[in-house]
Amino acid sequence: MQRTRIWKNSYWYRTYKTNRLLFVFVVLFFVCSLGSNLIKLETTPFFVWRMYSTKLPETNQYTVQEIWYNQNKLLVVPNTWQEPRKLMIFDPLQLYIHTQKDQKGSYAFRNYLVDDWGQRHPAFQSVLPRLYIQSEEWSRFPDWFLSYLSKQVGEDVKELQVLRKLVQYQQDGSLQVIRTDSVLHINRAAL
Amino acid sequence: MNYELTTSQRSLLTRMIAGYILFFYLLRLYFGVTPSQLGHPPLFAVEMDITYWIFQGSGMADWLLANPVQSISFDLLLISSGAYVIWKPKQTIAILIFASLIGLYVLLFNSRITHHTHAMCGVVLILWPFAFRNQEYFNRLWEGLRYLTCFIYFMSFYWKAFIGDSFYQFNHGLLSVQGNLAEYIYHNPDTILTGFYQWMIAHPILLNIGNTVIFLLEGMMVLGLFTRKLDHLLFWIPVLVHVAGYFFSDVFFMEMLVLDFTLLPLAWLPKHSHNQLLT
Repeated sequence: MQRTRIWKNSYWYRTYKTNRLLFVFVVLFFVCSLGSNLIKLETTPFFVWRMYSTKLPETNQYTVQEIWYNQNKLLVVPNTWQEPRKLMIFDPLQLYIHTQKDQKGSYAFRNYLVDDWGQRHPAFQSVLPRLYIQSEEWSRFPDWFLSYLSKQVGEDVKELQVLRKLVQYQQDGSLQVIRTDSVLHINRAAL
Repeated sequence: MNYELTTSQRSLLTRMIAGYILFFYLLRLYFGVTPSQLGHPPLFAVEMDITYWIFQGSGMADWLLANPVQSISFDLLLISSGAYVIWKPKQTIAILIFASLIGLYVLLFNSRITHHTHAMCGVVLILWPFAFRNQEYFNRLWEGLRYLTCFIYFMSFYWKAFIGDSFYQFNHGLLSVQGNLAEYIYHNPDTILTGFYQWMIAHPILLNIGNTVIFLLEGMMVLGLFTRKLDHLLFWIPVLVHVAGYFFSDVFFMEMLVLDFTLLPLAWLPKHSHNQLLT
């Protein structure tokens, strides 16, 4: 009796009684949401909630970037609440430096898609080139980035230099620079 | 106990949520990260997400960004549909347009930053129940979204405790702060906040305990799957999680908090409104 009452008050039963199609939709949505997490494959809107779930490397050395524009101006976006702006500036730049400079043009996602996934799913071969960045798009990046940065800083950015710094935390929580490398230089006149 | 929302409560919620989403979109407009201000970013990332594959493969992203007519129209339509929803919360067509455009924006933004951030996941999901005119369908979907909210935070804990194992790395709090805040501390060495972070890094026990407490709070959201009687407490967990993330992980997840509206105890919302404007 008690069990029947609990079942009849349950969300699932009430949804079923409201509309069977709605019930099927809700069940499928939950199954897909759970399934995405179990198979670790995200398909929007079935999100995978893995943030901060991996163990972090035991280190006190980290890499930070300095972006200098027009020779002597340092780009800093200090506030966390400006994160969308940071993401749009720093993340594509990071991908560009990583792929074009660190990996010397070897683009990991393209390599995986074409050489691995594409081989296992030959029916999709014709679609794949639309899903990764083409060489023409890589070459268009420096010009776009200078234009976008110009809008962000409110002045015409003609030149840009990115320095990568290896820093180490000290006992008192301060940072000490261990090494500095210049990883990217863009000059509009040379584009 | 009756958990059904009245039409008056629904209208008030519609306004609050549309207002919340619109506020953050206007903030993004101010930051210069909406389609009309991006130019035509050449880099993108679809990752292994089929939805992004369809979005990118269809050519819609490039069509929207390549020409100012499309991108400015997109921004104008999104903002005006959001404003219209606040004005007329029962207009389901406007809600449908607003929900679709905000969903497209999330795909556009995430693909163009070349990184699929989860900060706007709640925004993608929350408007859809309001697009149903039928009050009973709305109530079932809204209740479902409340369960999904509890599921999301619990799943986040489940990943840390049973898949990724970060829960068992006791100095995860220290390492997370060191890694996420290195840029901030490096570029802002003289601020009060940097002084505070440096003191915390020098006394890591507080960071590590705090980190574990936040993980456990996420795990406690599982209670919401079994009872609604704790909603007035569970409501504060996402707030705590994201405020902690803001200060100690340098991530801005305030848009995600839109899902917290599903945990608002109904007693906090007036059942009937005598003001015509609020119905």
